[in-house]
Amino acid sequence: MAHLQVQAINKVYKEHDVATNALAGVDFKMEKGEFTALFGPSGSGKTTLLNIIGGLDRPSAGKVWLSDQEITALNDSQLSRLRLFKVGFVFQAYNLIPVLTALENVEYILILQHVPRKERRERSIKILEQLGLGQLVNKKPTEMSGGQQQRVAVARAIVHLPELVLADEPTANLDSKTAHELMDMMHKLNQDQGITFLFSTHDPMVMEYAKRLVELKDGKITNDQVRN
Amino acid sequence: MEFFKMAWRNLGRNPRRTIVIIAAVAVGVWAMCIVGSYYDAVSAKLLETVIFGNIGYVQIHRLGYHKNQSLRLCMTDGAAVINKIKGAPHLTGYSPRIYNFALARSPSSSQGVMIMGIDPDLEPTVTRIKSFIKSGSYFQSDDEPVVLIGKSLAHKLRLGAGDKIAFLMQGFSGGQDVVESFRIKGVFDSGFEDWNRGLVYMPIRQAERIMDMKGRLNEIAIMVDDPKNLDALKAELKARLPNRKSDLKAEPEQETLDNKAVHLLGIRSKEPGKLILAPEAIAESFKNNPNSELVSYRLELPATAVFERSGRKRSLELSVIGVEPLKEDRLSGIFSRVKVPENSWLAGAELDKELDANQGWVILGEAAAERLGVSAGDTILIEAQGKSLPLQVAGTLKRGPGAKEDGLFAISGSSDLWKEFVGQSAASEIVVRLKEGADSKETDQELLSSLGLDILDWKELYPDMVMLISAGDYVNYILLFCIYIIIAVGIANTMVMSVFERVREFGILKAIGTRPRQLFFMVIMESVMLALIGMALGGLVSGIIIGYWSRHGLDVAWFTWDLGGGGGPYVIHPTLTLVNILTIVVTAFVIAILSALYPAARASRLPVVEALSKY
Repeated sequence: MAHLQVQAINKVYKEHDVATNALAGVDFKMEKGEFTALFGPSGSGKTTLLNIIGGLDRPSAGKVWLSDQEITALNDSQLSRLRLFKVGFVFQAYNLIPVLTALENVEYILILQHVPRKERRERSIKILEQLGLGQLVNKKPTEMSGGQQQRVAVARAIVHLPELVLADEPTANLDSKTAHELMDMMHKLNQDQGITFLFSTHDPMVMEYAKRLVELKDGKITNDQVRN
Repeated sequence: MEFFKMAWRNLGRNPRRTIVIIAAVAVGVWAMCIVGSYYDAVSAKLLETVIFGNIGYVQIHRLGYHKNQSLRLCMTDGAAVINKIKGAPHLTGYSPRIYNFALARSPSSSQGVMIMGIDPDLEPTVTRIKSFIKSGSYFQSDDEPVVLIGKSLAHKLRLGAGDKIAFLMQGFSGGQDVVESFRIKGVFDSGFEDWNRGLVYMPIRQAERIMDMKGRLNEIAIMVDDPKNLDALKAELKARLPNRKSDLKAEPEQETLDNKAVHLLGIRSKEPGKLILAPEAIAESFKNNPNSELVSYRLELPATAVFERSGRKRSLELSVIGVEPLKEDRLSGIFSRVKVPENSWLAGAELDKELDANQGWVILGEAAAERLGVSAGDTILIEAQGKSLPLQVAGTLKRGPGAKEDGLFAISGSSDLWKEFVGQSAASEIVVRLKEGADSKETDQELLSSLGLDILDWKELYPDMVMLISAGDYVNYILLFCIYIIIAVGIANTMVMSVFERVREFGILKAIGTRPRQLFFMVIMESVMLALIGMALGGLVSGIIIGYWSRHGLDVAWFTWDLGGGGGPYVIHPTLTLVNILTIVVTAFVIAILSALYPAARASRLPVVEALSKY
């Protein structure tokens, strides 16, 4: 079985008795170590699909497996645990916890996982240094630039060695130089450490980095191509 | 630990809001401390005024005295009671007292007062009487013919220390009013208007003398070492002064008056022939029984009647019976059956009234008169206990009171017999006339059990005071409740605002794996921290203020009721007790948690996707 398998996913939103099909029968597979971009216009269902894969939302129909575990069958508490141990998230708006420093933000996940203090401190510092953020460990989000915040967010997403990192338009709020730097960094993590990335974007520059491009349009996969 | 840190740092995100709510909690706690300590202090002051001003913690009386303060309702052997209570654990002082109503007179005015006979040495072991003296001085010995009067009475009668004051009152035996003048030794201010206006202290020996109360007491006031030991002391006193079975017995009697059956109860000593001394005290208890209509006593002594005429002397063994004519007539109707010769000055008169107002008379049984050969107007000698009393025969009677059928009796006024033969008031029998329809079996038990002692503490003596204090407590609780509500609403509002501003952040925290209960805990922690800081600040400020008042006192005379209207410096000393502090801290803590429950629940239950979409 594939590392990630999405099978016949439907997602219908109902508002004022009007049903909107955000996803309409999405079938999709991913293997370990992939660096895949999900692209398509606004409203095509990218974020909805990522939310369902990450266990943040539930599909109206269909199933999702992540490393042999059917996540669509989990209850809220099990989903919480899945997100904590198996998935890493990078959001468009960085979404660091404003009252914590860079180090504490990264460390937070390990605290939830009950990793001993010494080990989690070492792991967090190591990751931040790897990503060139050694100088920022004691800075709060408000003292960092957007690019720095997003890199800390990536550090937070990978510090617990998740099986899948989901990044929802990670470069949308960054200038092109910073966006390049971030994509370089994510690509390097994929190359060097084999971390599986699935990210959404509609930026052609970002798509250039992807090894596989999956196009989503009106809630359906219209194109799925592997690049050499 | 991380959640503590996050909660703590979250407080700093909106410093102005945090400062405002902390200040609100601080002011609330401050107000609670001040209100609580103020009411406690006022209650304590009120209680102190009453307990140390007059009543003491416990009082011992004859049963029923507390409701019916009659001089006669007394402990007839006060010294015996005192001997029993002396040395009781936790007893630090006792004060024997005699009370009597009197009319106080000065050349300019008069006023009804309560005279309180006190032992000058023992009274200060219970009350602070010495410190009440505003002019003149306290008693120096227990038999000085002087009194202490309250400042309001002094003002009304226009008298001061050194002046003379006259009192009109009735003594223990009733009868003639006693009028006597005393020098005012001092004027006092007890802090309680009723006492300042209506209480007169007199050395107990003087009170005993003028009220005929030697050896008798109306009250023993008692001081306890610590109010906490009050119940223990009361139990000890009750154990030392058990209401033993009376050594008296009650027997039903029946008389016919105006063709109507009259039910009587005759109360006698269980030991045949033994006299009941000071029967007035017992009669006073019996009068209080709702079934008793009339109480009187009879004294029956074995005597010899001697009559001498023209050198011929006759003597006869008989019973001489002392009665109270007015009352006896209503018990047995004997005075209407007395045969009076038509030429006697008593002929046609209401005999009971005439004889009640006169002394030196005797009514003989017909058989006795016949044997002695006397007729109305003759004087006979009654000899008993080696003494003899000349009495003039007023008339004859076939059947005497009680079961005197044989006619060998002589009836006279009991006060004549007391004076001549006993030396004090005494009775062989106390007779109670029952009201119509009263159950004599039930009543005799009630009468005998009404002769014990009452041991009452201040709460039983002054239930009004307990009510006043608890009314103060209720006001206090209402105020505290209002303050609690304000604090609760303040905290809840702050936390709701704070949660709604951070919906997206809670979404992120949940998205990356934070459990709902961890978020719940974090929000509650924020609220508790707000409350703790506010409480600490409020407690600190209250501690400083109350500490200052506690040391230097707070004069509340200008804004509170003046503990009776007597004026004077009403300085209270508010203190914060551990119970006060704990109550306030625990309550504020609980409020902090309760008021954060809703926002915390909201934060923990937010749907992640919805929360993430908020900006």
